[in-house]
Amino acid sequence: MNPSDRVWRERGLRNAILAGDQHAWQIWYEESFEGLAAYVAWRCAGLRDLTEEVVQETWLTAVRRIRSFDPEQGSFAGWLRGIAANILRNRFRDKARHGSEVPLQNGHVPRVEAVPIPRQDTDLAERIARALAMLPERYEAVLRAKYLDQQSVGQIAETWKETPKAIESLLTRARQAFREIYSILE
Amino acid sequence: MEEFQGPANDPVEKFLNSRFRGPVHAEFRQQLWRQTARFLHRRRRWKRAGYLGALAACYALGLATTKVWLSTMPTPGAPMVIRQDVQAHAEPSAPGGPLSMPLTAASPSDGGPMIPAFVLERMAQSCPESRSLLYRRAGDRYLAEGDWKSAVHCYSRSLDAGSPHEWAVSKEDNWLLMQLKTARQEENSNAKSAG
Repeated sequence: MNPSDRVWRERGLRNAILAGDQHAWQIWYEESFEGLAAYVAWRCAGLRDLTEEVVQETWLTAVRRIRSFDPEQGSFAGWLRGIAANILRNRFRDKARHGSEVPLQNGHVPRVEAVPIPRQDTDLAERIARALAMLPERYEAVLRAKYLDQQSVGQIAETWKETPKAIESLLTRARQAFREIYSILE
Repeated sequence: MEEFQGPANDPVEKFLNSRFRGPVHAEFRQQLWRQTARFLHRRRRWKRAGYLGALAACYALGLATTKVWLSTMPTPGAPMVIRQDVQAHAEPSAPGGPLSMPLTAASPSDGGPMIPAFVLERMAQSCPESRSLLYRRAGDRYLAEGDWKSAVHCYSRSLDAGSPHEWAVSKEDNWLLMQLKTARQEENSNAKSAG
């Protein structure tokens, strides 16, 4: 979709939602649910309970703060990802501060029976998720583009308007930083 | 052009090359949808209530304004008393302290209490049938406002527009009109005796 078409469409949807149009909200919800859930699952390194809680809180935050979404600043999907990343960061920060898991405020949705993950794997996944949350935004974005969105180096370079060489170097640095943070958390 | 790959047993590399799926449970998705939709519904209700409240407030404000306006308006038909210091302007036959002389202001039926003098004057110019009366009302209004010059002008026009038998002084006339009528009568008799 042409960027100006996207801005125009998303602005229309946002205004309709602000006027109380549930149908417009449903369109956005249906369109964005899978993408956001996949992103959060990746950011949570597959921890299912955490993924569900973050997805839920992200949507509840989004519907409350829809007025602050500006389509000219970025896409709705990107805005949702930003909310989810902040929720995760805050969650890990609180956890580090209090030393125990902090329950989410809006946890009304009944827990879907999770596939039991061995304790060791859970710890490992959580360390991965925390390391991701501590990565600089640009490193996280390039890793996401490469590993979650499955884009090639050439595609990323084209989207980011940079050379493939620069993207390759950025990927190497991002992976290195990720590994370093992970080893510190180990 | 492929990037560096780490050892396969490295947890970071393992994570990066894994595929994760988000919550796919339909019930979770539906319940979350209902939660967000409920929030939107609540917000719409509050918005409506806000509009209705604002509308009611505007209505109440309008009512209050009308009430205040009606209470401050002069009662229709009530005479307006103008106290006039006649020392400077009164007839020579009435020397002494200040006199108070009741002047009847125009009642609403005479052109409305809110019609300004200059409007009455304009109406008089364009309405030959009641020109005399309208000029007189305009003169009354100017006199009440203390604009003597305009009052004299309007009363003179009123006398010009009326017939000579209206020049007779009546008890409803104010001091200025009485003076003008007397002067007009003297002028008339002088003209007759000279002629």
